Amino acid sequence: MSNRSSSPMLFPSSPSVNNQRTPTRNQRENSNLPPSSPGINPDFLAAPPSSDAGNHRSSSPLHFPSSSASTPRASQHLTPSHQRRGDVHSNLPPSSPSFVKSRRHLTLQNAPNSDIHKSDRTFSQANVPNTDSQTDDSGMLRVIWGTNVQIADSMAAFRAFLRGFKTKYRRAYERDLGRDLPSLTDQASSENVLYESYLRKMRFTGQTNLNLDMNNLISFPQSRKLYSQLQKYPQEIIPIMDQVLKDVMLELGEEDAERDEQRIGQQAWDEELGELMSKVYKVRPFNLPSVNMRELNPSDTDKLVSIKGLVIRATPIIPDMKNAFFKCTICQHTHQVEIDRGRIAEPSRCPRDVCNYQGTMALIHNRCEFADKQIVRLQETPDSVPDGQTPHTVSLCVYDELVDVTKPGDRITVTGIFRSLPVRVNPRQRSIKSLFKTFLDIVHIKRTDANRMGFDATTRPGDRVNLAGVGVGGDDELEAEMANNDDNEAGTIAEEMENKLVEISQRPDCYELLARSLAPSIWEMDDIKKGILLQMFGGTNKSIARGGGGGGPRFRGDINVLLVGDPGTSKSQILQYVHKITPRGVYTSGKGSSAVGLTAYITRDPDSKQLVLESGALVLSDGGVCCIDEFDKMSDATRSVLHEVMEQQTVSIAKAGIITTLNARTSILAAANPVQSKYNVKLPITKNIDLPPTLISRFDLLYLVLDNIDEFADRKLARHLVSMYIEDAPETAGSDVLGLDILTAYITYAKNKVQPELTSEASEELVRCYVQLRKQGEDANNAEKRITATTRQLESMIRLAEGHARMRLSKFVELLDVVEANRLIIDAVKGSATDPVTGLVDISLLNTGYSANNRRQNQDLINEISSLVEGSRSANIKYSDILAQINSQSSIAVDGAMFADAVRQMEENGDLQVVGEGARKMIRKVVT
Amino acid sequence: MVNSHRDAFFKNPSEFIQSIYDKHGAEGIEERIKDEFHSLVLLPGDMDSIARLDEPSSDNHYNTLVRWTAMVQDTGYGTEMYLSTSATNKCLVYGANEDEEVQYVNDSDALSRIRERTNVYAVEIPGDNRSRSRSQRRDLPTGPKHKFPLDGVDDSLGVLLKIYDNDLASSLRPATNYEFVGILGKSALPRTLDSIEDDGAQEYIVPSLHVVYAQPCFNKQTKRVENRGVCESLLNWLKDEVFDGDELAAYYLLLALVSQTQNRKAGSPIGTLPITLSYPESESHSNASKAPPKILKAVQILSNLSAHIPLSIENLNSRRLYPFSNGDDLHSGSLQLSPSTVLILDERFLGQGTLQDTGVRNVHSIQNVIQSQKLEYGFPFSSFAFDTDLIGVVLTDHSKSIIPGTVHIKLRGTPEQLCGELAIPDDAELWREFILQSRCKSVAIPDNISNLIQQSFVDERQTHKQAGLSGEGTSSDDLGRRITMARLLTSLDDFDKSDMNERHWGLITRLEKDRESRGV
Repeated sequence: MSNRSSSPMLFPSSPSVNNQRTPTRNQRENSNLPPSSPGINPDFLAAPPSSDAGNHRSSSPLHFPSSSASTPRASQHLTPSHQRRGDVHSNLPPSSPSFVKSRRHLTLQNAPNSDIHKSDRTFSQANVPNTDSQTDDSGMLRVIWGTNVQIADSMAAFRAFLRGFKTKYRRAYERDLGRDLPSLTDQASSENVLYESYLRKMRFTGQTNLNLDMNNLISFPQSRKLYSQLQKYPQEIIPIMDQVLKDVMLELGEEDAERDEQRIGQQAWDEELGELMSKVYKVRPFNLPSVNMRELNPSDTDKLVSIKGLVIRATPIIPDMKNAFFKCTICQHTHQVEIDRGRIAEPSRCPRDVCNYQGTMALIHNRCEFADKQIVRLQETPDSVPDGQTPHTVSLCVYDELVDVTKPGDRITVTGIFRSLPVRVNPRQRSIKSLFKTFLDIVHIKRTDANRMGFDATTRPGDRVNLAGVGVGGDDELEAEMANNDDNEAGTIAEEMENKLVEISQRPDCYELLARSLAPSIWEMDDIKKGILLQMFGGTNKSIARGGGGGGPRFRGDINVLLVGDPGTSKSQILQYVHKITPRGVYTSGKGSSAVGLTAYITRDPDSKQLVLESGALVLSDGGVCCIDEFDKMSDATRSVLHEVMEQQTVSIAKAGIITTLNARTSILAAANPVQSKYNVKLPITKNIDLPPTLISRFDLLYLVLDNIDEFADRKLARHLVSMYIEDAPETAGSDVLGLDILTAYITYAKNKVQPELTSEASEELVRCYVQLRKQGEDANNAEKRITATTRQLESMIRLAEGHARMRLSKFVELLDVVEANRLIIDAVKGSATDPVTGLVDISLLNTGYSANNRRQNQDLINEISSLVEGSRSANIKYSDILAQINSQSSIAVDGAMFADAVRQMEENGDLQVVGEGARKMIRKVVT
Repeated sequence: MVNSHRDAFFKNPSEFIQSIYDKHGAEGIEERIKDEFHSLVLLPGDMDSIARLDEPSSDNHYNTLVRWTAMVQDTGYGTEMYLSTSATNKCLVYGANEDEEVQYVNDSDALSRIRERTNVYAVEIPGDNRSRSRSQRRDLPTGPKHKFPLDGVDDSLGVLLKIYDNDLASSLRPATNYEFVGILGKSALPRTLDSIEDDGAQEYIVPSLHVVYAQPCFNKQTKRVENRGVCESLLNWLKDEVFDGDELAAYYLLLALVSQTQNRKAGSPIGTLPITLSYPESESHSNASKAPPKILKAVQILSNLSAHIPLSIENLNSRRLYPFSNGDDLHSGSLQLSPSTVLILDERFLGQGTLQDTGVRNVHSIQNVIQSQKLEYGFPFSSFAFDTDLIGVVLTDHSKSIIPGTVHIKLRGTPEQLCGELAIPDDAELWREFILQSRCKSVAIPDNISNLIQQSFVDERQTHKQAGLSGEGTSSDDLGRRITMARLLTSLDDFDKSDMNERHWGLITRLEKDRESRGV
């Protein structure tokens, strides 16, 4: 090694290493001084005090905590005022066409092409002292050292691409790969020169970024080679592309100006030209096949890669110094130094020959130039993490326009240059660790999905944002469509899962299979499972878009289900299952549910002295399913909250004088026990559960789960359980069931991706079913009407039909969905709203607690009492006597409660008066 | 010959690796060294000649081969890139020649020197009753506190594993125990780019282990217990010494201790028996009731892995029990425990109060562990559920547990007798082995017993119906629990018996009836 090589700049090397590199032996002998003390190194004393290209005065580089470094292969060229990209760290100067010819040209003496040069590396290193490429007299840079990049060729290819690419090339390319594209609607559009229109758009809107779909690059025959070059040598090719972009921008501007000369005028054009010249144009390539971040390895260093992930953190904007401004403290001479691969070469002495004092140059902070930089942490998305592993993260450096484009929580696909730089043991020391820090310098960001996990997207309105990052291009329909195609091609875990889910949805027994997979350890109860299954899919939320207050009212799409039945009939187990399956499920017991709070309380139950957990379940399950066990044991306060939740889907909290309304867009799956702990089939459901009818009516489906102790069923159940607990492969409710994870994935997928719409056929059927349901209440022999369905049932039916369509992953609600919804409703109504006396369905049982039959009986009773009272001779009649008399006449037994009710009603009407207590309770005639 | 070769590798691996590097170059050196190790360690006994990391010794273990049994805590660090050779052409793979100076010139020659390895963080097995009683090595730096699951352990060992085998690295699972053999060194915990660039941030130096060999380590018995009547003596000891003559409690605790997740059909684990022991109200607020319950000590004696987590409003709200990450590294939580650890949740001093967000999540994750044997690790914007296999024992103060799904046992003894000191019995070692053996014993249920079980279920429900009783009869949950218990009881038989018989079923039915009659 020559003595000269002690100057770090003589080597193509990473800047952050340069200042740490162990000095060569003889240098160490010469100056055994810490390298950071400015201007001591004798070698540098000899260096000419100019800032000319290649001669770097770099004894004491100011080190900035910066990632900006690269493998220099191209020449260095310091032009103090020009701007350069933070992400690429190229060393080629940008220039206008006029510069192109006057620029310093470099060429390599060796054979023009490619990788052979790797073997010549040392040779060229030794011979090329301070540039990586070589100049010859003719002045044409041909090949960038260490690469197969021929600058002129690449420029020509990209120019041809910008001026000649048409979408038909892309279509042809996709076709060759065997991908189906929708046929063209507009034949002419495929003949448009796509990028010229982008460039015009950039000129008109004053934008400087061009998003470049790399698949377009590969589809265009002349630029095909650029694709792999861009991937391998991004920091050489991107600056070339930037350069060409600017050239073509100017060319195109000039052409347009000539055409429209009269219109815009020479002066306007000159101004525009000046503006174009002053701008820095950036090409932002994207649409490279993305790899898993786990697969990034040393061989990817300095290559263009693309990864997907979830942004979990972003630093505040970091000022990244681009241009340092120094002033001599003695002669006031000012001097600017541009950042070079992450470092500022601090001048050790005043560059002015007359002054030339050592160590007088001071940095003037407010005259330095800074660029924006931000470090973003990207985590693997849950669907790409291998089973049983925890997610990995990588750091991204974003610059300039891309700063603050993403927020934590976004899912993005980024394209960037993979960097690995050594870590210094200490900023003041030369020695480095054997460890490297790795990160990506980002050139393009694309948000893949604004949806976050686990939410029903429709419950989060107003979150749709522009998915493209910045710049022009890449957001066209065609490109979006192509991008989608690519997504399907890549065989990630998520896509495999998606295919699997779609496959399931196409099975003819899909509905049965899913219902069976829901709580497979619970025997039978098929209809209940189906109802709950549809609840988990849910209907679509509808809101009236126009209207006051940001969108008008919402109509709930959530389906509420109530299970009533005997203890020990696996109600709780079903709830537990649902809780496990739904992404934002919350399980709570009505006994200790405070429903509203965001926090929870542990309190001692005053009755039993037991500690109970009260949790604010409803708010927690926003966008999910809230499972409430022991629904009947809920406190009245909580219950009143539920009225609001189940229809308006909000929770109002009044605290410290402030009333807030929180969203609680949740479906409720509740389980209640009968009043007398065992369901009395002789009584209507409202008598069996201790719940106000107003609340019961808010449930779309109400199921009775009765424990019929039946020897045969018991035996079957016992066999099932024994096999489940003993054998390895338990016998389930059918051998073919889906696992919990698949079921969860299926439901999440359907909820996020499918928003079914009603077809006209389906709506007709809905109307027909509803009318039919209403008609059942009409009875020719009876003037009185039983109510068999209300609009609530119609709404339920719509929701269930939508849920069923969603389950089929169908975009439309069709006839079969309505038929099934109707069947489920009729089944549920039959079980729950059947008047036990008449055996007829009467929905008012649920709505008011009284059936039509009840009401009629009550009226009969009142009539009878009044006739008895009227017919009596004395003014006061013993209460118990009247009850006894009525019971002796009536064909059905009249119980005390019914009688008391009737008497109370009559008293309220002023027909009679009740006096006395206990045995002396009397009914007094009211004399009018 | 082999011995001297082995010594060279074990005692001075740097030199050994350098000699391989000199001979064969860097290509495939990871594989080559691994092969060398396997050729030197053939017999199980060969492993014993490698020093244990956590054993006190006079020598400095740095740069020698050591072995260590540990629990993987964090697999999220991912790979790191490092230079495989030093400035003087020394090989740096497997942490050899760690002190050599490194130079790096950024050219493509240097690129070929960059290699990658995976970082995984492991901690000493939390709640390991055997190793905790041993004296610890004090000369190693301790790991950061937030990476160790259990609270109140200040000197826990945490080691950054450097893994050179991608297949191995991707097979490691968090909260699982492995035995590692590797070269001991020192390393800073991996940091994120923004903390590297923040000059103020300090790095945390921990021991590192350059892993040559690893294998999963199950909690198994070391020798076969062939003694007869172990179960009886163990039950008697539990009954008399621990539970103040309460045979029922002794049975339930023993059954719980030998339980294990058999399979996870349809999301709910089968084979587990989480129990709640409800302590009687103490009449006198004497000091006796403040003494630790004897069961804590008993569990420590009988199980080699156990963790005691006192629950109070305050600590539920303040410390997360589940592992979580804020984007940098994975913080541990008290529930991140290796399989078959006995998890004692002490609700006796819970009291009333408000649970904040952390508290609610903590209770949620406890419930998940007890009911579903799954623990969710929290990450920003996502969470990942990992299977656990913990044995849940809840202690309450005359109350039901706030965690549903446990078997409630009301203790009979007096508070004074249930708490206090407990002497270590002579048979402790034998019993511990016996419990380990029973845990993995497979049990057969002959057809006639299977029929008996089914028939008894049908009969009980029929009687219930005929008696016209209201309320719950025997539910399917009850049946499931009884089958699990009968199966566990069978596994407690002597080593050569594995069939369930009528006696087991009868005893379990009696125990359940007794337990129910005691109430809450």
